[in-house]
Amino acid sequence: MVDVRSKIHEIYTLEQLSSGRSVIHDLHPSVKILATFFYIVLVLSFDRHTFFALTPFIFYPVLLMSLSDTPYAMILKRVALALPFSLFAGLSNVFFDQATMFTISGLNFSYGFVSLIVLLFRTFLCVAAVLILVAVTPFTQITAQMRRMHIPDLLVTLFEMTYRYLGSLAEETSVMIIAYKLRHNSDKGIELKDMGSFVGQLLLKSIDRAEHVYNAMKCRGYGRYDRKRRKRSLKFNDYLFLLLAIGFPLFFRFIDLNLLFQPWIMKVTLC
Amino acid sequence: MLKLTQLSVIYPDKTRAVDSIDLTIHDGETVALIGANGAGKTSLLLALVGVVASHGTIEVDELKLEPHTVGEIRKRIGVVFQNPDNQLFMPSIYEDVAFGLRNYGMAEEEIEGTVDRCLDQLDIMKLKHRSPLKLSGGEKRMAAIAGVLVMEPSLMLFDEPTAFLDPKARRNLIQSLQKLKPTKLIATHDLPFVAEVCSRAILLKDGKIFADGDPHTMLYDKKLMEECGIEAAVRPMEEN
Amino acid sequence: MHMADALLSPAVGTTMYIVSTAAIARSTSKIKLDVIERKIPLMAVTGSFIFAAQMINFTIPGTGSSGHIGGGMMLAAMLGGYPAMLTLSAVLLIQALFFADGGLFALGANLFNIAVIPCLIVYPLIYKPILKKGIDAKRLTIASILSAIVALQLGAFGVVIQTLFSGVTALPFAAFSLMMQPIHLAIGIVEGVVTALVLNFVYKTRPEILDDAIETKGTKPKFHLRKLLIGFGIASLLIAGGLSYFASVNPDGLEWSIQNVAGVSELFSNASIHAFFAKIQELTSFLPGYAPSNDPNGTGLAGIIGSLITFALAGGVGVLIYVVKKKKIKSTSA
Repeated sequence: MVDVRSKIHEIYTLEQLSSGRSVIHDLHPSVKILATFFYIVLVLSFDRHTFFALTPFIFYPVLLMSLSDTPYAMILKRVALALPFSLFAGLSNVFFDQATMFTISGLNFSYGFVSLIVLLFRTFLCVAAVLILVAVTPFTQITAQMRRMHIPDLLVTLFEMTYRYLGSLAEETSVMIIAYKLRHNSDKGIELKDMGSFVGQLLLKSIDRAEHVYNAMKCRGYGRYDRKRRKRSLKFNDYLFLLLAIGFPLFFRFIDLNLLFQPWIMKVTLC
Repeated sequence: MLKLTQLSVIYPDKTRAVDSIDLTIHDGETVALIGANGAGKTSLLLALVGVVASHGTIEVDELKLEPHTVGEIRKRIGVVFQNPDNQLFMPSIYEDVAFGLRNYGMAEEEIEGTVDRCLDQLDIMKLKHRSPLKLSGGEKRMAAIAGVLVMEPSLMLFDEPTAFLDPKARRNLIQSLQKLKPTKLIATHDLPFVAEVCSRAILLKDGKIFADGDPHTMLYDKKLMEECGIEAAVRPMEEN
Repeated sequence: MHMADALLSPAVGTTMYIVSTAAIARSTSKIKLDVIERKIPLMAVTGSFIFAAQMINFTIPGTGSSGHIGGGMMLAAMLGGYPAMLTLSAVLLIQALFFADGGLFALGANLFNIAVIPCLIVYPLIYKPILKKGIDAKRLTIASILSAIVALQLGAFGVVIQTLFSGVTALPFAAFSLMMQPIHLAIGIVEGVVTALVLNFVYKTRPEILDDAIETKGTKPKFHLRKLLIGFGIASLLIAGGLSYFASVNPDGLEWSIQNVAGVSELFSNASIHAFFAKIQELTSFLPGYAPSNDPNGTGLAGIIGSLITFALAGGVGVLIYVVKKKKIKSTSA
């Protein structure tokens, strides 16, 4: 059974981290979001067999984590959870793509194997990039940015409220599960025949709560005005960060440093 | 300042939750609304802000409740609901308290200062950036009150404010309520609370006003209370 | 069924984003303003409900294994197609950002597979028509099971197509489909059964909820909308396939696609675009020491050593920053 409590704990760990202070935390959210997307797209734009040229991309997560005091362990743990799926998807490559890509002291490395490594590495880079984004950008800044991007107020409110209620509904669910297990004398899970009323009750409770929430919202003027967008100007640091966060990945995308230094490396290692 | 004339709340299944009530509440009063479950307390409160449909007249500071005045009425009357989880629906307390201000068009630059003042007044500044999920019952209650108080209503309605509170939080609530400026109408079962906080008590039975007067005499009147399906309060031990 | 970023190419990811954003915009416009306002709390709470419900593990009789529901069809049945679309969008965004459940760049694709398909395709085309004559236990059950199966089949197929067109996996189409479709058939049946059980429970206790959802104005797609949605979906997948070769900095891939994807060849034979990518290739080959990437002798060892150096550098920089920061804290607190 998925540990409900720990899942909720995950969200709140990120919330706490995001309220920290650092040069990265202070950056404008739009710049961080843009950089993240740009980074991910560039990482994904490499050919699936290209590993060596991709390696400099590790600087982005490392630098951001260090500058923002984001704990490495937490990010690595989350990334590790995402890897098995990529492993599974990439394993087939090893079987189907067996042509040799290169050889090192008699050991043949196939295209398929390299593409598996690339897939795992990409997963790491992309998952880390998103987690870091959330660890350095408070939720309220994300929603304010969404409004600045002209996403309809109603949708952003929906997003905010869903986020808010995740916690309490998950708690209620966890209590219901425990109560069921205690009376059911088993630790396995809900029986299929009970799912209808178990889930159904939870659903009805949710709907009733929604009614109360709606009343409370109406009493505080909900629906009268569209929220005004809070302006936030870009500072020098923001432009600098954007320049670096776009410039360096672009540079490494098209200039393969490994190839550049290859003759020197070969000289050193073979002599 | 609150004037109800022949107010009735009739539900689709024909039950008269509130039955032809005439009532006037003056500025500055702290009035308790007492009655057994189903006596009509919550329906009455919801009717005052137009959440449930009603017949008769509701006037707040001489402004009649009508479809086009609902928005203004809701600014003048603040409601603190029984379950704070239904009221605190934003990810942080700051966002929740700011919610009402934003809906009524206050500029963002003003909002932070206004929210801060309100949180300070209730002594809950430390909750500003916390999530409602992680608060205790008492903290949630105070946060919910903040969200309503920040709108500077002239009348505040409370539905069972001492529910979900431990003794310390309850004590804290009593002290805070005593300091609040707006007129207060409090629906509650908590008779000792009424005796401490309220200057007037209205007893509801089957949607009608059964008694209206000084809580200190009413609450200990066993016969009166039993007729309304409520256990009478016990007089505190006299000091000898 | 949530896809990770790493499985997509930029072209496919972008295309799916465009499709899903269009679907969201469409859903927002289709619901009347006062209806959506009233429904927001309901949508938010049921959205969180889906999230919580996905954590409920139930035992599947006879198999000894357990499963959990996705909930897309259930949501559509409770809220109506368009509101459910928006609700699931909020849930998926939260999952992508805060739980690394599905990539952020893959969000467009995940929205399509997990939200658009059940809410905007299966719900109006399968679920609603079955219940057109009225809701009763039998029709509800058939509608739930059939819808869940089809929705999951299409969703799984979406994953297959998107992954293949991204060129990340070497798995041939047939093998991939043979893996995905049967598994999701089984999952679909179970999900359908659970959905049927829940909806029947709800209908018994609070029938007005389901009645209301079906009646919601604006959720009846006209005939041409159906065609538009399907056509749009297929067209974007085709374009994505063509574009995925187009975007790779490899003129050879370009030649291949020009020959093979007839019908969009006008786009690709645009001389200036081809020239642009050829120039980039030129630029990188201009650098000294460029060795062709399929030289089995040089690239491998040098590449590994180079990569190790890169990682070491990155690690070093990280440590350096950490040390400098610690010094700064010490000096300011001293």
